[in-house]
Amino acid sequence: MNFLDAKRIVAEFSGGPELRLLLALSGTGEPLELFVKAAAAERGLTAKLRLLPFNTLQQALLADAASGEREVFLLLPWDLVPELDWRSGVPAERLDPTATLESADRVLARIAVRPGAAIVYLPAPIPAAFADQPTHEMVASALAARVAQAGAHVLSADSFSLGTYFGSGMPVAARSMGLVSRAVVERASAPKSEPAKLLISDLDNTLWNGVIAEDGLDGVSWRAEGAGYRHFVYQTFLRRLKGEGVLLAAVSRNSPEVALAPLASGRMTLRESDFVSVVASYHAKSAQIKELAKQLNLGLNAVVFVDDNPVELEEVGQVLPDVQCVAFPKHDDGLPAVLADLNRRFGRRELTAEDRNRTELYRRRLEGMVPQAAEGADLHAFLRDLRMRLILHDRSTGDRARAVQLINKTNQFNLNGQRVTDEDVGAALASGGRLFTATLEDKTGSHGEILAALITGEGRLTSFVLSCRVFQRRVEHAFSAWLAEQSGAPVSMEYAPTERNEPFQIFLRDPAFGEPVAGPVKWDADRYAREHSDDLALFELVTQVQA
Amino acid sequence: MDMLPSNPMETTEQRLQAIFRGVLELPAGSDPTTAAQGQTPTWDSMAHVTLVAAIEAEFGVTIDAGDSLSLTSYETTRQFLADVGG
Repeated sequence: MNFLDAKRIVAEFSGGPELRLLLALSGTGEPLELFVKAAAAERGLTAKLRLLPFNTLQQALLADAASGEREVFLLLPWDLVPELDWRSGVPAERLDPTATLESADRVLARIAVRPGAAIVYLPAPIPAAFADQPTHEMVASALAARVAQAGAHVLSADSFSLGTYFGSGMPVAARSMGLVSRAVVERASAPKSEPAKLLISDLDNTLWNGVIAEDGLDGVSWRAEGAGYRHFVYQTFLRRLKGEGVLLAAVSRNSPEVALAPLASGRMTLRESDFVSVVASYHAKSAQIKELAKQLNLGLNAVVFVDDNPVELEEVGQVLPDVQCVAFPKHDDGLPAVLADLNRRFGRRELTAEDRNRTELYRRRLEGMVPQAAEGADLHAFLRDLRMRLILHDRSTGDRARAVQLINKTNQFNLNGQRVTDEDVGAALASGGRLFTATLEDKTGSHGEILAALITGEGRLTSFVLSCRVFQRRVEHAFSAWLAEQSGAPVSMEYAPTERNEPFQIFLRDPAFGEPVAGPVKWDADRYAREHSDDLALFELVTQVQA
Repeated sequence: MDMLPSNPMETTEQRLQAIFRGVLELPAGSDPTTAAQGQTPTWDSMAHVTLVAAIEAEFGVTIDAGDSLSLTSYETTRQFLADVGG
């Protein structure tokens, strides 16, 4: 971002929530003002910026923070050790490194007690004020390490320009004003830096690789090899956090016995006892998290939620904006950044005996699992925002390989768990049956062909499956509402309960269906279509189906 | 606020004039090429610091303390940029 870019961004910004910000630096800050406003505008915020008078940073540290104003300290080495200021020249006598670092600690301690204060550190070169080069380098490194430990965002040294600093007292190189301003606004708009207390992790494809309800215990992986490797490292990291007093919990769209199986197997790094609670239910994750935080008596801003699924993250982020959402990496190379991010959110320098025993204390408080009757969030507004598009295919003729595959690999939302061969399906179609599938797209991309339904010529639904990837989007209701309006809509379905098809059992609780016992279940198509028109309206429907 | 040019193909002079208008808050329709320290009321010491930083950021040049003091008008600034190839 250069000057004219910043000017344009500010000019075109129509306004947003106010960000009251003190940018505290000892040098000249005025040239940064426009860039900070532009960086805030990029985040939809209107910056109300206050700067300190030139060279008054140390005095400001002795005064109380202004109410309602976020403080970001843009520090340079000489703000920690005044003798290192280039504008004062090189000290007449060599500096003592121990006293130098003690000076830095005093300044950082004054900032640490200011509520919500954040630090951005610019590690500018320091003058040759020490006995020798190794001491010089040790002091420079130790200063950067101390501010990093204090939670600072540490910039690159080339964001400093001695020429600019000499010329105007402005320490930031002109070429870096945009970058520095973005770092300042990022810190100013971030949640106040109280360490988080509760990490809630998804299970499937987060704590382990794979989907336990589909792949089974032997099909998921968490070992230090292959696809399980990053999940293994993630678990070892959670183990460390737990040892330092961070509470661990898990939420999963599964039945409890399925979700707990890997944790109870005793083969993973983490055990069920490492978690204060494992919430396994088919409710929206936002509802699960809200209930859990309530039972633990923790504020939602103390909660970090980790999930691999962007839709789950968005759902939680929209319903519970105070919860800090972190995406589990889809590739191994993304792991270091995610762990560093989590470490920053939970970072605490001192540990107490209570910290180490916190999980046990909270487990006793909860005395078991969170009730599964947690109230579900109303997801309709969220789902509308996903801009979902459901493409319906008639696979009664032509290629049906994906439909057969879906029917045979889906366990959870599955009408009866019945496996079929291509010949079985062909025979049903030859007798006047129809085979439908659906592809789902939304603003995050395509989810592929995720639903299949087979109806016999007599109007019996004999297969109906939906991929667990797209649960909680009302796809099954929308498809069924559409199907109910078609000529030849099913009049019954061949239902059978299985160990894993609880999601389908929940679906069957709809009043439009008869009593869900094994065998033919009646389906009042007119009533279903009437009562689920709102689900259908969530989707842009594209029918590639012959009437 | 002035409408700002957005075309990356703008000439150095057009961009420089936009910076002078923006930093010195020159009235619409006024000629930025006549701006000079001592004659343009908004060109105070802080505006000078901002002007120099804006020029450095926009054109990717470094202006040392000594050079900064010599930029006392639009014309001397334009000439400076021409000399350093900005």
